[in-house]
Amino acid sequence: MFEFLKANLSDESLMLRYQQGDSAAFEKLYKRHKDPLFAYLYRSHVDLPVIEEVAQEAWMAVINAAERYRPTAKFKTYLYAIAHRKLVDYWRKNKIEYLLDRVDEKGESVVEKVPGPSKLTSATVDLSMDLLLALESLSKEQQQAFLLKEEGFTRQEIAVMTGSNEETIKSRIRYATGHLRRILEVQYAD
Amino acid sequence: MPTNQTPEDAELSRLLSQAEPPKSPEHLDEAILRYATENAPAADEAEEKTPWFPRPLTAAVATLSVAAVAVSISITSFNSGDLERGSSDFSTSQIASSDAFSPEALVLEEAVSGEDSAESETTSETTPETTRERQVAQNPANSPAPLGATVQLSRANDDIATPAPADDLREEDLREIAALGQALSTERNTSTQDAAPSSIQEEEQTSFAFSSAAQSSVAQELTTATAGQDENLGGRIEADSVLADDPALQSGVASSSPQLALRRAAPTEVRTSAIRLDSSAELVTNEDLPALLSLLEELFNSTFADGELQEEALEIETVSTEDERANQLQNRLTVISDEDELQQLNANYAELRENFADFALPATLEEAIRQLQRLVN
Repeated sequence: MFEFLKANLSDESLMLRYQQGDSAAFEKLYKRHKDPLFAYLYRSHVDLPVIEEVAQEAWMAVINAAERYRPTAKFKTYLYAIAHRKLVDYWRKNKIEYLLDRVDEKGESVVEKVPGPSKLTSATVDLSMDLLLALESLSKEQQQAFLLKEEGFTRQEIAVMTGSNEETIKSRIRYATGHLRRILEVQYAD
Repeated sequence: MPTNQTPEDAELSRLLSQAEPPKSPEHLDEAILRYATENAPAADEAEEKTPWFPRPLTAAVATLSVAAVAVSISITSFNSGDLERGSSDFSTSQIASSDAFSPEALVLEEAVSGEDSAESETTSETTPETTRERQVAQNPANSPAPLGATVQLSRANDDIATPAPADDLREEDLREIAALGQALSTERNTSTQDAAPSSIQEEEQTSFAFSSAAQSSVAQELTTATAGQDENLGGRIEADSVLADDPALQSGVASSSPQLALRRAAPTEVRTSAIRLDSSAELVTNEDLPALLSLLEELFNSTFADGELQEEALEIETVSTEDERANQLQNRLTVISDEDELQQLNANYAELRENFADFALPATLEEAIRQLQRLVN
C-alpha cells in the first residue's frame, strides 16, 4: 500500500523526500527520467561517451543542489534545463560550431555546407535515423527548441530554459520544422 | 505536446519517437545512484532542524511564553505587595483606632510588632498587674494607660475582640466626665466653704480623677474641665484611686460600654498602692439614713437632757423632713466646742448605736458626723 502511494508521488514530492534524506525517492525519480533525458541528449549530440558525461554531470548537479531545491517549477523542466546548460557548456568548451543560422533566412538547409557525420551516414540509415541526422544539420538553438518542444515543454518553458523570449522560441521551432520537412521530402523524393 | 500541431509536425514527432534512442547505460545508473546515496542530505540533521512544535505555531508559542512569564511575575509581585500592605494596614488601623491615646498606641505598636515573641508572654502573664506595671514603667510620664491594658487584655482574652471606635469612645467618656465634673464642681464649691475638705469629698474627687485620667487624652479634657479649677484636686488626680469602693461610680461604670468598664476596672485591680476606706467609711444608704438621724437626735437629747439645749432638741422633734433634721443636727454640732462634751457624746454614741444594731450605721461618732455633713451638703 505504501509502495503504491510512493509510486504515485509526483516528481516534486520525490525530490522533497530525497531532500530529507530518502535515497529511495531519488532512485524512483531517477528511474522515471533517466531514459527520456538520455534520449534527449542523444538526439542533441550523437556521441555516446559525450552524452554519458553530460548526463552524469546533469544528474550530479541535481543531487548537489538537492538541499536548495524549491518546487517552484516542474522537476522535469528543472532537470532538462540543467542538462541543456551542460550540453551547451560542452559544445562551447570543445569549440563545436554553435551556429545560429544553419538554415538560411528562407528556411533552406545549409547542412551541405557543414561537414559532419550526418552527411556521411544520411544515405545509409532509416528515416528515423535520417531525422536525427537532419537535427544535426540544424543550428543548436533551433535544434534545442525543436527537441525540447518534442519533449513536451511549452514555448514559455523553453524560453526560460534556454534564456530566450517566447517569440524567438516560436520562430526557431518554425524554422526547425520547415527545415526537417524539406530534408526528409528531398531524401524520400529521391 | 502542443495541440495545434499540423499533420507534418505530427509526422515528425512520430518519426522522432520511432527512432529508438539508446537507453541510459547501467554503469551510468549505478554511478549516479551511488553518488546520490552518498550525498543524500542527512536524515538526522533534517530531524534535528525540525522544531518540537509546527513552524506556523512559532508566534503563538512565543506569545504564550511571554504571557506566562508576565503572569508569574505579576503574581509574585502581588503576593509580596499584598503581604506588605496587609501588615501595614493592620498596624495603621490598630494605631488609628487608638491614635487619640498616644501612650496606648506605643504599647499597642510594641505588642503588635513583637507579637511573635511577646504575645506568648502577654497571654501567659494574664495577671493584669504585671502588664499594667510594665506599661507604666515604659511610659512613666503617662502612668495611667488603661486602654493599652484593654487592648492587650482583648488580645489575650477574646471576650472583647473589637475595641470601640476612638471617636465614639471619646464622646462617651467626655459625656461622663462632663456630668461627673459638674457634680464634682458643685460639691467642691460647697466643700471649699468649709475650712478643710472632708475626706469623703477627697475620695470622690480622687476616684473621679482616676476614672477620668484613665486615658491620656481624656485626662487632658479633665484638666481643662475640672481639675484645672482646683490645684489641690489636680495634685490628687495624679494620686491613686478608690474607684472600686465607690458604689456610685461603680454604677456609672456598669452603665458604660464593656470597654470602658474594663478600662476603669483594670486599674483598680493593678493598683498596688490604692487607698482603701475601712468599713466605717461606707456611705449610709437611704434606708439607714432615718435611723442615723434618730440615733444622733437621741444622742443629743440624752447627752444634753437639761438646760438650754433641751428646747433645741424639742425643736428637732418638730422638724419633719430629713434634710431639715440633718441641718439642725449640723447646727447643733457646730456649737459644741468643749472637749469633754465631745467625749461624752462619743461614748453615748457607742451605747446608743447598739440599739440600732439592725442598721448599717457608722461605728464612730466622727464618721457619723462626717456623713451627716455630706448629707447637708
